[in-house]
Amino acid sequence: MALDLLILDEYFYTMKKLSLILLSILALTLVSCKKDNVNPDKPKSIEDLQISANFDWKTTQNVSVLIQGLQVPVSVSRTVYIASPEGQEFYKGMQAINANMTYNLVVPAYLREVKVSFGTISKTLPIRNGIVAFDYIPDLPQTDN
Amino acid sequence: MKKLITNTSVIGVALLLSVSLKAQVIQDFESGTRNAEIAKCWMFQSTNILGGSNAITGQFSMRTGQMSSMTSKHTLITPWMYLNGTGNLQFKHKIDVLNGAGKFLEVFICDQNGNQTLIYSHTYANTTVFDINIPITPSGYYQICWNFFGSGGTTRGFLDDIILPGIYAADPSTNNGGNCSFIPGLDGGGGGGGGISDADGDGVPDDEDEYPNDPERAYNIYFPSNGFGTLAFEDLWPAKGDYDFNDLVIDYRFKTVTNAQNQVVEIFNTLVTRAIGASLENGFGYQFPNQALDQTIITVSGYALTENFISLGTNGLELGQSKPTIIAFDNAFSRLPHPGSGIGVNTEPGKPYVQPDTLRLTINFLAPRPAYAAVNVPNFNPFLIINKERGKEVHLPDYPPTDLANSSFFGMWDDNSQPSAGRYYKTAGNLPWAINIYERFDYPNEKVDIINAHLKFADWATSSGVLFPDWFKNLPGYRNNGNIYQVPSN
Repeated sequence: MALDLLILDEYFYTMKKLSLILLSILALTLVSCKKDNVNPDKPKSIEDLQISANFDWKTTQNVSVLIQGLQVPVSVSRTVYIASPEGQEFYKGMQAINANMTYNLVVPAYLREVKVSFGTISKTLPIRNGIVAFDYIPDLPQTDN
Repeated sequence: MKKLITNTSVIGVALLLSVSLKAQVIQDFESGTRNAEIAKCWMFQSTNILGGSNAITGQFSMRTGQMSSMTSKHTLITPWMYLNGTGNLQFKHKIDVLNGAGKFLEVFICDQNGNQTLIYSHTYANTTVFDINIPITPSGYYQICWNFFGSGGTTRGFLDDIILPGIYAADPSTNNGGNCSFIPGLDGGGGGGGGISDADGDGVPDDEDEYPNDPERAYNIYFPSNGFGTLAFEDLWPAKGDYDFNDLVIDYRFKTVTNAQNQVVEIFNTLVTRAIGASLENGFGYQFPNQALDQTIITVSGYALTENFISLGTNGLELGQSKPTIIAFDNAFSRLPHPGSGIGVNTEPGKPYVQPDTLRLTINFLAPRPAYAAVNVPNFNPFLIINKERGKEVHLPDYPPTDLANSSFFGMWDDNSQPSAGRYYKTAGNLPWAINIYERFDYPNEKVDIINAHLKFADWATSSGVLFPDWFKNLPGYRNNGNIYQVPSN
């Protein structure tokens, strides 16, 4: 009886080992197959790409910087600078502080923010749907303390 | 309303300014936001603008913090004003509740030398609204300062309906939390204020003027903003090419010089021809997109035409064009000679390298000069002229042809242009024949498809530009350098 059980144990042990070996071979085969067919749909040429008819192929974006004039009884004109946050200047020119103005600029497509400076006033503003809205009003906390 | 123009040269006022001579400034706080008034050079120190039942008049008044300290004062300071010695200061003030040991208001007039003169004081005994009217007799620049203070308690002071006599004389462009310098020169003396100089008297301060001694020029505006951009063409149009985008590779940069009126004085355009992955003798030109530009005020120099098939006017612009059109060169091989072996120039590893050619064009604008926006340099329309056939142009996708393009090529072979729909220079699969890269482009080796050189290009294109808009940069995982042309080191 004990011998029978021992033989049975050995049988199951052998089967388990065989199963593990078979599973390993199967897994290796699968991995190997997968490796042989990495991204089977990967395009080999630009002609394999599905491109939207509306894609403009531009590495730039058009941005309208809207300057909202400050309603003060004096018209001071100084240089407005429009640049990337890192300081790449896209435009500069004279601007009257009390005048509304729109500057249509071409900037890198990857740019997300624009820095607008005028005298001591400087703001870094997000580009939202191709629009940057600038005014001269500071963003200070409103408190009487 | 009368306007005063102050514009001194050499030293003094350099701001181009006009000042309203309306002899008073009203502050009723009805903007409702303190920051809106700070922008106009009002200074709030432990004071705010608040609405509600405590407003003296209208919807809003200035309100102080709790007047519980004799030393920590709650202050409002006006912008700089200029006074000619007549006029009255008017305002209304009150407190909301009387508690604590004592509540006070002092009003000072301050001059440009920092001298303070007490012109009004009040000790509160009740919550009555006081309507004040005080003659202001000094002349010159001044500010008014209200100080609310007290001892203990929760009392708050209120101020409203201020009328300042004189001319608004603050310079909001120098704003620092409401603290602004005054505009000098209103007293005829000049100087003071920001102490800004303008040597050429063009209205642009010297420290902002890139030509401080030249009244005709003020600014340099670059496109691209830093360094060069690159135009990369395929030249077999209307047949498809091999998409290595190296049939003609040109770096470009525009330096636009503008004046104080933001008008274009001149444009310096630098073109660097780096590679010709072709055997065709191609030319290159570009067009400014505004048909309204007066071509008679434009003169061009620096172009290089050798093949005698381009017709220019005496001003250097191409004839027969409704928009200003500049032909930079008519045969790329005359700029970048073939080295004697290989398909083209500078596209095949191991072949002789030819130093890139730099061409400098100058475009002058006479008066009446157009505005920078009217010339619209960043939206210039570059094009290749294929093999000296003037009507055979290749443009960037969806950029229109010039007047001299032969429209019979549209729709031929692989071209899927539909002029009536504004669709140009795309295949049926929406592929282009040219790309414009905002930065200097490292182009593929001969016959290497761009997607196998710039590994994020495909994702960028298939996502319509949403993914990897910086695909051309030299970032980890972005390139297969073995497929990109490398300039030989020796």
